Amino acid sequence: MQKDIFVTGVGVISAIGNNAAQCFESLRNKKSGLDFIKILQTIHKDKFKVGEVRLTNYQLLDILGLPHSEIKKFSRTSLLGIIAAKEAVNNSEININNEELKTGLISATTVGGMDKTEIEITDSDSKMDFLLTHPCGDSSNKICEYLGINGYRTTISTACSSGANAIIHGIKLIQHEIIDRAIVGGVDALSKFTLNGFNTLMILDKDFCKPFDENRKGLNIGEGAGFLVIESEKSMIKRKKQSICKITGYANANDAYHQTASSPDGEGAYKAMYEALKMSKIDYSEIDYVNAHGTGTPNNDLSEGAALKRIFDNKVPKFSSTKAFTGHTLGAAAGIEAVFSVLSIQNSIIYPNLNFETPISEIGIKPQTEVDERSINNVLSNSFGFGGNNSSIIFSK
Amino acid sequence: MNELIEKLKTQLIEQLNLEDIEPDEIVANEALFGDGLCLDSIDALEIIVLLEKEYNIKIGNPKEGKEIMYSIESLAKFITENKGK
Amino acid sequence: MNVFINSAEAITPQNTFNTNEFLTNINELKGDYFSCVKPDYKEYINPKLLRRMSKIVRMGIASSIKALQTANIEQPDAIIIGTGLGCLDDTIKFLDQIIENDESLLNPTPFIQSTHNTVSGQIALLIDCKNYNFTFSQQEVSFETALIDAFMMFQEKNASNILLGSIDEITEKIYLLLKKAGCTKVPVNNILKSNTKGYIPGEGACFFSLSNQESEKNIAEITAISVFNKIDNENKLPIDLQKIFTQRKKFINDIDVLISGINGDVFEDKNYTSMQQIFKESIHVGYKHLVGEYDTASSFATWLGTKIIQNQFVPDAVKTNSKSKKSIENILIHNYSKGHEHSFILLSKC
Repeated sequence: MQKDIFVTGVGVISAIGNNAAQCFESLRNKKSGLDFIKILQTIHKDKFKVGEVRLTNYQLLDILGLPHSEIKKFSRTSLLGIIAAKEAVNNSEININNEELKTGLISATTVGGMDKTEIEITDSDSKMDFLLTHPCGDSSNKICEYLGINGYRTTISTACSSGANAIIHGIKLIQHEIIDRAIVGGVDALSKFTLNGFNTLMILDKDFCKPFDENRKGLNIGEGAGFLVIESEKSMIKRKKQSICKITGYANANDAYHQTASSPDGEGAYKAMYEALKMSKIDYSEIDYVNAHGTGTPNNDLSEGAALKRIFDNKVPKFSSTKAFTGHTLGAAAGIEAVFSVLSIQNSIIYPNLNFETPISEIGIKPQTEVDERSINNVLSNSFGFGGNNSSIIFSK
Repeated sequence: MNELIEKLKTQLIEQLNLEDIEPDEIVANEALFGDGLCLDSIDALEIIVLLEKEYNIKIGNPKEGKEIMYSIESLAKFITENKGK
Repeated sequence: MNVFINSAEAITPQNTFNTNEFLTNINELKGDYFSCVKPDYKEYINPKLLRRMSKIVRMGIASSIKALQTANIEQPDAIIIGTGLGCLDDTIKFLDQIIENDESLLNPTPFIQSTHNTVSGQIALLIDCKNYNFTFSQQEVSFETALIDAFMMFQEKNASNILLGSIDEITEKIYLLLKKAGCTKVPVNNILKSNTKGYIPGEGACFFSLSNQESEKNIAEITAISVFNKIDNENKLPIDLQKIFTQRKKFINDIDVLISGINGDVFEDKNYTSMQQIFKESIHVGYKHLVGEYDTASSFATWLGTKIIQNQFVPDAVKTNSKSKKSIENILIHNYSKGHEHSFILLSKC
């Protein structure tokens, strides 16, 4: 079994940038991408702030060099996914056509091509091609088609932890030598379905979300895609490539408390972090930064905060949620935040948790509110979803 | 008020898909959540939708709903006081 | 490392759940698509919880609970599920509301129930299982990639028992969309020999309790799984499948039964001919004329193969040639996905 897994490339598109460099600049300059809706057609346009990628589908096609005539072939989810996956591949400089090394694609999404389905399903003249783009697996297929990946591919759909689970699955496939390297991450596009869905749960903030703040009211939905290229040591040695960092621990656990809410003591979150830390064999005091799930909902932040206090025995490392920058990008969240975690190590930086004023009274912990430039050796990244699905991944220098 | 209570029982059974329960099995002043009917937070959200749909009453914050929805009786009282405002 | 099947439970359009019969009384197709036989769900699910559950969630939970009960497992070390299209009925319900009510007065329940991991999450909740919990959704290889995940867990020794399953459903609304898209065929007698284009949609929930421990509970063994194969030479096994045969010391003649995913679509079924030729001495079996076509139908094939091994008997209703065998030791399941790839599951007698 190949034990060590290396990150050799990153790719991302979100409300704060169309690539990793742009996103990183926004994070460093505390520039949030949350704003009123400009592209999605919805009656809630002027009501909620979201993390929208400021490009129409035609503009996304342009970036990929695809003709406008192909617009019906792609959901917005696919286009976002291809852009981020392509950047990750270019960043890592892997040659997908290399016959000696097997490449896989493991992606994640919560609603797949719903952005296209919800528009076309009422169109009586529709050629029904939304049936092809709707399934979760379609965006993964489109990414593979565009990048020329012929081998292993799959998609994971476990709500907001999906992207982390895609990364975990990719890691295991490499460790078991089923593939040598993988493009792993997640994607989701904004849709009326998810915007209205979260609205019915009354967990959207009409203003900017305030992760870990006493007066937090809910989340802002976002969209985007984030992918890593991960490789085995054998694969890296073969092509004499340096890595950006390693993945030293990961875990998935279930809260088994409620269908949508997290347990007050964050049992599932605790278990995921505990197992990931155990695998990494890193001393808890050596975690330099926690990129929290931190959605800004009353429930998640309390639960996650409680779990952080428990696991770190009240000595919680510097932590922040980046969701006040990008919004909660659902299936893409863990992928995007994995990229941010890797960039944190690469650039020696901790990102600020925007909009924080008052700690949550029940737990009292304070996130990092300013950009902090310091050497980062270990980052813990959390992603927790509906169905009590909780995942944690540890990135190390 | 009694008419409203009976109407609410039927509406709740329908909205929350309480398949095996008859209206006369629901006690008007018994707790809806926790014990009693064992409703949960998702049901609370459904009741909020019901209030808006059927009675034109908007509840902006689910936390507000806790006291209002304690029982069918408290729900009926709230509706009577706030209907169509 | 061995992966044993200790129980296999399925809710399908045939009488497969809570019965000792093995495909003797066949349910003919009534209507345009195959719908599951409804068991008494109250036997497996508390009525207070049942009320919120759509058909697919009930199917998934009942069959998974039964699989655990049969194998005498209270808490599996992992719950791994595959689903092609997830909880479609609730998805459409919520989408319809958005359209009809112009994004107002929407019910939260169908939205919550529409997430693909609703079933895996609900199972965990019901049995208080805080362990590993994954849901795969990659169309026709959703079940296969879930199975690969289970294999990897056993290999890592991170589990000694795993609940593996799949769920997919068909509804009237979905059927009409598929029909409009030209995917479906008008119901015919003898579906597999109809010589017409299109398929008959179906649905099902199949769950297995897997273990890496040898015991008297073992019914069958999953010897190997191989996905994303291309058939380059019509007369030869795909490379990876050949490697598996070599590693497991199996030969063409060792395969007693070949279960093919033929569905009666005159064009698509041609993709199975090559394997049927190579394994021409095996008993040939089809099943999609009994349960319909859906993304995770190969899990039904796995259920079928398991029961064939357990009973040492191939029901007439599934036979598509006239071969017979003294005993059934090895079964090869072959499914072709429209992504032009072939997947194989190899089952063996323990």
